[in-house]
Amino acid sequence: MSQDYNYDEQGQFFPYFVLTIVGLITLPTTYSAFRKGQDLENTAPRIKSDFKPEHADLIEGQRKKQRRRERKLKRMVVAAAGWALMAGMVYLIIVTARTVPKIWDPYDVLGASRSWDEKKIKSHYRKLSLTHHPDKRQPDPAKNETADLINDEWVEMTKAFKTLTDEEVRNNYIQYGHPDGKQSFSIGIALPKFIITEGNGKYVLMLYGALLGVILPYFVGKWWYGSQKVTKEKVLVASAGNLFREYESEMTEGDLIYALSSGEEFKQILHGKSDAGLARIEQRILAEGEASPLAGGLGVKDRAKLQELDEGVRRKALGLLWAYLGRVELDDQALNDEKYEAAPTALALTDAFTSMSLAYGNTKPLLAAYHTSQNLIQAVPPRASPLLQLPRFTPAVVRAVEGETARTHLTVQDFMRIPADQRKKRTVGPGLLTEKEYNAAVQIASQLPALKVEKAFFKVVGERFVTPSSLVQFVVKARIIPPGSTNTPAVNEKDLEDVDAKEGDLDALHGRKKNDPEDAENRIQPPLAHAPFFARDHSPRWHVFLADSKQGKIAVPPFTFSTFDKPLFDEEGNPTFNVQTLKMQFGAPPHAGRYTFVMHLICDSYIGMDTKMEVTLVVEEASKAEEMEEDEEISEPEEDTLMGQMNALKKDATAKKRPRRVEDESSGSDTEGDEETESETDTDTDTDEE
Amino acid sequence: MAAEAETFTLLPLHLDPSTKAVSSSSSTTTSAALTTELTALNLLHRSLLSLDTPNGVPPPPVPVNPKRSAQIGKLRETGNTSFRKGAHADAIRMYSLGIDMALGRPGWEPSGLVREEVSGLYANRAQAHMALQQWAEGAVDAECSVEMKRVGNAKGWWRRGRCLFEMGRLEEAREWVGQALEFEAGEQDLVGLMREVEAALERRARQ
Amino acid sequence: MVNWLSLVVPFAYLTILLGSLYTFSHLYRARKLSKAASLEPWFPPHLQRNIYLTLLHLDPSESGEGGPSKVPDSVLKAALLRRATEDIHRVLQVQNAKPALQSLLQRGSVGDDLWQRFLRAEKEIQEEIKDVVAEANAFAPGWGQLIFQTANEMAQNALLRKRVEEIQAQVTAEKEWWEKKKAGIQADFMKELDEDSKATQAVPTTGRGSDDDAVLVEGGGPTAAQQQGSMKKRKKGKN
Repeated sequence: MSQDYNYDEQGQFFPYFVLTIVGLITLPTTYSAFRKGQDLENTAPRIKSDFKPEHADLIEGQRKKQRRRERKLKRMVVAAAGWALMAGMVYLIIVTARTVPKIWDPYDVLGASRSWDEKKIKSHYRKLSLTHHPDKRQPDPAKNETADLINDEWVEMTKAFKTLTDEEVRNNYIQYGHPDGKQSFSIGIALPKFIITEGNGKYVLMLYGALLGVILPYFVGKWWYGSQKVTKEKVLVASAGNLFREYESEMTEGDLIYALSSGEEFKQILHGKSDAGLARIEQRILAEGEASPLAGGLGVKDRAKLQELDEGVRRKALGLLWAYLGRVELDDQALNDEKYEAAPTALALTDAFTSMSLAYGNTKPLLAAYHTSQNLIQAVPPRASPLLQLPRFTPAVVRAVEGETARTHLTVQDFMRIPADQRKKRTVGPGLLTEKEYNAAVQIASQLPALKVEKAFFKVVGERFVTPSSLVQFVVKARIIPPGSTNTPAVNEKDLEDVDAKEGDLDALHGRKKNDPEDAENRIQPPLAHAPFFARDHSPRWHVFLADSKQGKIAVPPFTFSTFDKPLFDEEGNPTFNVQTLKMQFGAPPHAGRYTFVMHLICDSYIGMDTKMEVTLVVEEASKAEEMEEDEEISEPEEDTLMGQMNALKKDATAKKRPRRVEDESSGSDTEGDEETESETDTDTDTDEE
Repeated sequence: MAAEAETFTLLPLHLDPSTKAVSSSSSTTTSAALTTELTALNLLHRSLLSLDTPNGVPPPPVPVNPKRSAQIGKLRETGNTSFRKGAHADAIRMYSLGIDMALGRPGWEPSGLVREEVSGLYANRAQAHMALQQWAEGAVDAECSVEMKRVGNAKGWWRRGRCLFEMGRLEEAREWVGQALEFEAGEQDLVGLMREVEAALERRARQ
Repeated sequence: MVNWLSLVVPFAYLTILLGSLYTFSHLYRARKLSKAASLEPWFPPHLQRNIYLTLLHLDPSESGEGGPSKVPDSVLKAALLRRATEDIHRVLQVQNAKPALQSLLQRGSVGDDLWQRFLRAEKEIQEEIKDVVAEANAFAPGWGQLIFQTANEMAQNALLRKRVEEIQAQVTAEKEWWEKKKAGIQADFMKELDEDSKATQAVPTTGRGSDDDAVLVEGGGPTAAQQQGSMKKRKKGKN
């Protein structure tokens, strides 16, 4: 009854073992190495533009550098090595002959048929004994037979015969698979024997020691500290700390850019060469600009802050950022390159800052963060004209368009609203744009995805009123109307409604419907941001949040939308003017009352397309809401209830009598008097396009 | 930590024996921050010296010394009288004196009081400027007034809106009045001004 | 006979194990301590505190010129007030930052180091406040309870004065701009007047409300005189 460990001496199973292990590593690695990035940036369409900025080669170089970084070369090498190893193992498996131990079968040994009865077997055995008994058989050298072999064969035959005839032996056979009773059983280990042979033992031990004591801790440690080195927003922990300490509740965009320069990432970009070119950068950005007092677009405060800094990486980084924003030529290949590299880093830091301002909950720094993101992507300094987003628009051109004494800037939308002939007259001229350049700019302008809010309201799914502490949906109905769009169709009233799923359709109520528009697969992406100076591809995102304007606090933190539920442009690239639905959920306040918020809808990539709008959330006492619901089922509400009065007012305003699903609503009327005036409007709301 | 509480950086300071003014004794290594700080310190020291409290420390913020409040109130009244008589320049002078006096209150007097006084005086001065059609000055004064007191200052909000409107800065006026309505919802003057601004904007768009 | 050797082996094993564990934890803690101590302080050097303490320790003999040049109490009081005012700023900053920092730490948006630095700053500011209260009470009994109230008002007052100054600083630029624009408008207006006088009177001049104009134009093309009349009538009707 001994137990045998049977090492894989012939190398039969060992390749299987290795193949499995290597396969477990190689397959996922290969998948991740060759899978095409699912990031928005890789799948979105582009805005058609043939505009090449001055240093297009540098910017393109930066983009290529980033793509190389993303290409995961290491993973590819690992995957290739893995596949090679697996191929080798498969070869080994095929080559090694398989020696499968035969199962001992008494019929086979005797050469008997399974259908024979005992009598026949006995006679057969007797016949065999005549020829195969060692006494009757002489070893035949020609067949390589020996006396021992013959003897063994005869013993086997006798055993087989007994198995089939003797009761006891037969039982043994049935029970243990062997006529002699229980046999020793063997365990196979798929390791080659050399591993445990005497002399090699210590090496194997050393290998294990190295594996468990050195390599495992090394990788775990590397992973742990590696993940500790960057924060959730993928910026260095040290940078996040610096940014947090720079936070102030009254920050402007200029202050934020100053704060961003504290990022540790800039040390890597500048390779510690902090002094090279610092004087030149400052000389250039602080020179008198075309439209602003300083070419970099800095304010007086920003300049003071820059000059207070010690000379070093941070001061240079800040200088480079201003040079980038002001599109200041530095006349030095290396400096220009650093300038373009600084912006994407700053954008990542801005993201980190956004989460910090959310933790503080103040509106102003959050807005500053979003606006800085726009500024960085478009390479336009804070407070400068949104028109600079258009190709070849310089401060001089902008001034010609806006007029000498203009106090406020025209947005791209405003610009495109100017009658065509007048617009052209202001833009085209000596020192300004040529006619061809002007046409190219207008072409770009009419492709920008400006989101226009048509209606915004609160609702609770399946309810008519918002009751305290219920889960409220804030629904924004908006259309992409590129600047300069003519013949914008009127909004279809039905598109502005947000119809609940049918009652009883529980799946739909809980958002589990099959063709749910929020299904990630069917979402439509807007084209990549037109940002010729920004050395990365960036997919625009829209942030919607509600703020309490009196306290300057964020009431409902931002929801971010990067895709839409309906196509934005048709095949020819013309806008479809589809009404898009943006939804965000939050808990209603615990007390009944009217709550007025300011909704901000901000695109992170384009300047001057923000929407600011007042919205009112009416929360009804649960008991009152029920009562009214009952009332309404019988008749129209009485004039003396609040809701009744509101209804009456609304009916007066809109002259419509269809039953309403959502009672507490306030929608925006565009004060600039666009075509769609038929939205149901509370008088105290206004849209403010900045 | 206890040891740290006792350590400090020794600064090269010098005390003028006669004026008791503190200055930095080494002129070369003085940072800008130190200089401004020392100026502020000497200023505070002088105002402390003029105190008449028995132990030479500032009194608690309340109660307030009534003398100054009375003076400021009087200046405002005089200004108002002049304004009513149509002597707008005189009114502006009176209000300016009042503003200087209110801002000149020692630092330990309640800041809420200063805000209240300054806000009212700036609002009045803005009105006087508006009477003289000095819209730019009026706009700045009204902004000051609002900055000092945002809530319950419909007059201040309205005056800056009006000034911007008069200067043809319609977009700014719209934003300003819109903001005002967030604080003073339903204020008739502001709603009326908003309507005017909107109308003017529409007219301009049509031209 | 006891096999000493076989007894020694497990004991040696235990000793080495425990010894190495102890050494590790000792080294680890020492490293952590030194790291915490080497963390950059949250706040920049406390200038006001340094000034106050320097003045306190100013040696009469060093200031030269002989005479009674001990720093008078009034100067020290002023310096202490300045110090308390700066403390108010720091206390406010610490108070505001704490909940935000806690939530960011939980989310993994900031590192643990920052939290350590913050805790240290918080502790320091508490010590600092105690210190200032004690100093104030030494100058005048009971001042310790008042000094931070006073300092708070001073901080607020300084803030509002700064805001007023900032806004008032715009006056000259605003005035310049308005003068320029006014001049521009006047020039335009004169030009228009010129053109108007040159042009024939047949063109109806645009008045105030554009709606009124529309009505007027629609009313058919009457003569200028009639228009004037209708305008007057309208005005009467309105009033």
